[in-house]
Amino acid sequence: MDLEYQLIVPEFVLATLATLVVAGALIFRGRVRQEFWGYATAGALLILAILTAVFYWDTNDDFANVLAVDHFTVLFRVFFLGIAFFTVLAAIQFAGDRLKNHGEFYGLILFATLGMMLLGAARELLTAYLALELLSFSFYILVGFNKLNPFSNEGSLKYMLLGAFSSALMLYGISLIYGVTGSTTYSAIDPDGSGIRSIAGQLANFTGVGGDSSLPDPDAVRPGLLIGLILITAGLGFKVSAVPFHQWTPDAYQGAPLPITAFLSAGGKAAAFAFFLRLYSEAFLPVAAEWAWFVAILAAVTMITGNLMALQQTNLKRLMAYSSISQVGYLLVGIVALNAETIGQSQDAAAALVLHLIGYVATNIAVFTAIIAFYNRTGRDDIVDVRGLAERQPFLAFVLAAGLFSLAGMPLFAGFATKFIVFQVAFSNGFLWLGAIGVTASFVSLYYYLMVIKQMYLYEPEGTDRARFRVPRPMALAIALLVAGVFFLGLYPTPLFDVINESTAGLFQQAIETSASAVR
Amino acid sequence: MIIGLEEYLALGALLFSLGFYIALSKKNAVGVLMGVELMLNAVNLTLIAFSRFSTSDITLSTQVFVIFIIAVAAAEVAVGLALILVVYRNRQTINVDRTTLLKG
Amino acid sequence: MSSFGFHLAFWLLAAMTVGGASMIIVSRNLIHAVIYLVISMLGVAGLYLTLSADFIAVVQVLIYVGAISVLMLFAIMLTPRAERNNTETSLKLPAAAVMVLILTATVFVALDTDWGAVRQAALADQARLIGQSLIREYVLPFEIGAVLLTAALVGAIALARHDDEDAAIHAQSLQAEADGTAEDVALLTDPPLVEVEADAGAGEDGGS
Repeated sequence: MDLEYQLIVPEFVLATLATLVVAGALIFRGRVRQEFWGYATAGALLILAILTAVFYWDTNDDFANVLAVDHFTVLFRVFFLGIAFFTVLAAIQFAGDRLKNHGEFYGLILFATLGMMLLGAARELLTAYLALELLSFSFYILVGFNKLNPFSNEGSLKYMLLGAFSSALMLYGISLIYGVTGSTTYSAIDPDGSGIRSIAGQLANFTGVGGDSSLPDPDAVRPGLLIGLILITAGLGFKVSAVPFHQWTPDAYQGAPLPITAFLSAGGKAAAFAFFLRLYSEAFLPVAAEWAWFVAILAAVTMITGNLMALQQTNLKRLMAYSSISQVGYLLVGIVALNAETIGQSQDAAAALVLHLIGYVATNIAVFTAIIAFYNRTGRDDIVDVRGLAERQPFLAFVLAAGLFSLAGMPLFAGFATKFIVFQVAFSNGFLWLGAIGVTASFVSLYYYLMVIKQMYLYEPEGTDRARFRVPRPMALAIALLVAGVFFLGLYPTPLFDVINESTAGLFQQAIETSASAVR
Repeated sequence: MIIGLEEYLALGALLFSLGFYIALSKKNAVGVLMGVELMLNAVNLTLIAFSRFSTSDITLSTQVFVIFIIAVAAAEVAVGLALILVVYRNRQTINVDRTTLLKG
Repeated sequence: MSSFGFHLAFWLLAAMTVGGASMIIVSRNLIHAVIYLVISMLGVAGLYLTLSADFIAVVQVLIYVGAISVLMLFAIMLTPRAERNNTETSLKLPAAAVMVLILTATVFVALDTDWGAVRQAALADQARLIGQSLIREYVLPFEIGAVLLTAALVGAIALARHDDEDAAIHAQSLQAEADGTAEDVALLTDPPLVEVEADAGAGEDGGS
């Protein structure tokens, strides 16, 4: 068996980098300025992202059947590195003012990024599970990193207990699926017929597409399959914080240091959805009808509850938590729409999902970076505290307004274009009711986003600190870049959509081959 | 009666449910962790039972899977211990229902 | 393999496992609960032996019984002033209802699904085979596991380390808790920056 280590060089570099940052900050304690580690990490992440994009884009290979290195992997590698880059940039001032142990802080951000990259690439359940735990452990600790703050402790403890619980649920589901299919590999392209067993191949046999008569009757394995799928979906529901598995989200978001809230809402969610999408399209697509109804219910409940709960929030972080929950609802619609009549339609759904994910993440990081800049100055994070921000810091107010409009799905911004494509796919794949709920929920969401915008633009500043203030250059530059991206995506999503289409096509390779062989 | 796969799986299911109840109902953070550990044990038992009885010929992969689950569980408890200590220092309690600064 | 000894071992171990787990629910003392957890896990280790998974059984005893339970005892002992009772929250009844649901579903699945079961020949030389697969097809999970343990270790130390500066703040925070002003603790430990920049007028658009 060949182990082609050159395929996973970015992961190795990232692991080395994380260790170096942790060790370096210990060795040079007191001799190097704390900010150095932040800028060094950000710089390294940027370089790594560019090099990965340049050197790996054309790869379509597979490491020991556990890790796929295809367009999808590379797209998400660059995406996660970008998320980490912007997070670190936003965190530098915050960490300097309010946190200790900078080496461990940036090191754990890098470890979490490594987990995300592996999770997006894994095509085998053990690898995916370990990557998911690497990601989760880093996040448990990062959420509690402000260890002197009881809110941070408490958010972290709840997140950790529920996270461990959800992992156990998912593992039980995995074990049942293993029992049914006898494999943990999602799908294996098997050109010489050497008999690589895979989940997708086995499931296709059950549904009669593959046509292997030596297998048990599909109805006989249905209970195990169904409960296994439900348990895996529930475990994943915890990880992406879909209602009713969302209880940890507002607490962890509110308790975490703000840059980590941003990272959790962007990176954590993106990684979980990358895993979700790859697993459900590569491995579980042949039995889409068995799980689609369950995910559809989750999506509908998430969209409705997330938006209704967001209406009552007074804290900016909690508002963003519920806003992110409702966005998860829209993203789940993309997963549901994988259950289509033709593979082409499933491909459209996957592409729409990834596009909306990227639009959402870019917008969310922009909004959070603006909130961090505001918090660095004021130390407050309630909605009423942004009162009169348009007067004190017009740039931040503009960015927040643009970001929130984009999250609400207003035209001109990324949120409109990407959400439109998701709902359009849902309509054309036959989930009219889900699309209708989504559109209604978007209108409701406009209300609470407008509440924040109203505070910023319609009221005078209040309190003792009404002076104008400056945003540090690097942060302002990062925000400007992200907002420009949000506008660009909103007005002209085609180039990115083409790239995404190309990368998600690889997920359906096996499905296409199986159905082709069935026709023959 | 022959002890076969079904008996082991049913035992796993029972253990899983007990762990599930403990994890959801216990007040103390250590109690919750115990429930999670029981659930993981149930998963491991199920996997090993499949490796012994399954028609598939790759029995080794489940054993490897189980080893990793055990390793991750150990790390999980270590991280849990650190978090419990941190919460205790600030609040002098490790009961999850008394840590109610944050309201969902 | 359906000898009397095998039956006896299975039912005894099953009783030990389930009994230990049930006693965790009933037991009101947290330390007793950990002991019951150890009993339950020893039962699972015995069940692995009846499934001819020798290596896993040894690992189970070493890590679960040896390490994890000791860590849990540490967690209890290091928090001396926390309550040691092991009672249920108000979620008890809904949790029991969901448990019954899950139990029914999973037992039904276990008994009703056609798993195509045949007893395989037990693997000889398990430790060697597992070790080999860890450096061949499972080398990447193995490496991820190493990184995961590193991250957990670094993080756990960063969190649990406790210096004098922290101790003062903890004392303050506990005082606030006693006074019932815990809501303000976050502000104590996470203070807003108060100094106002001298050139307040120059704070125009930072991005241009």
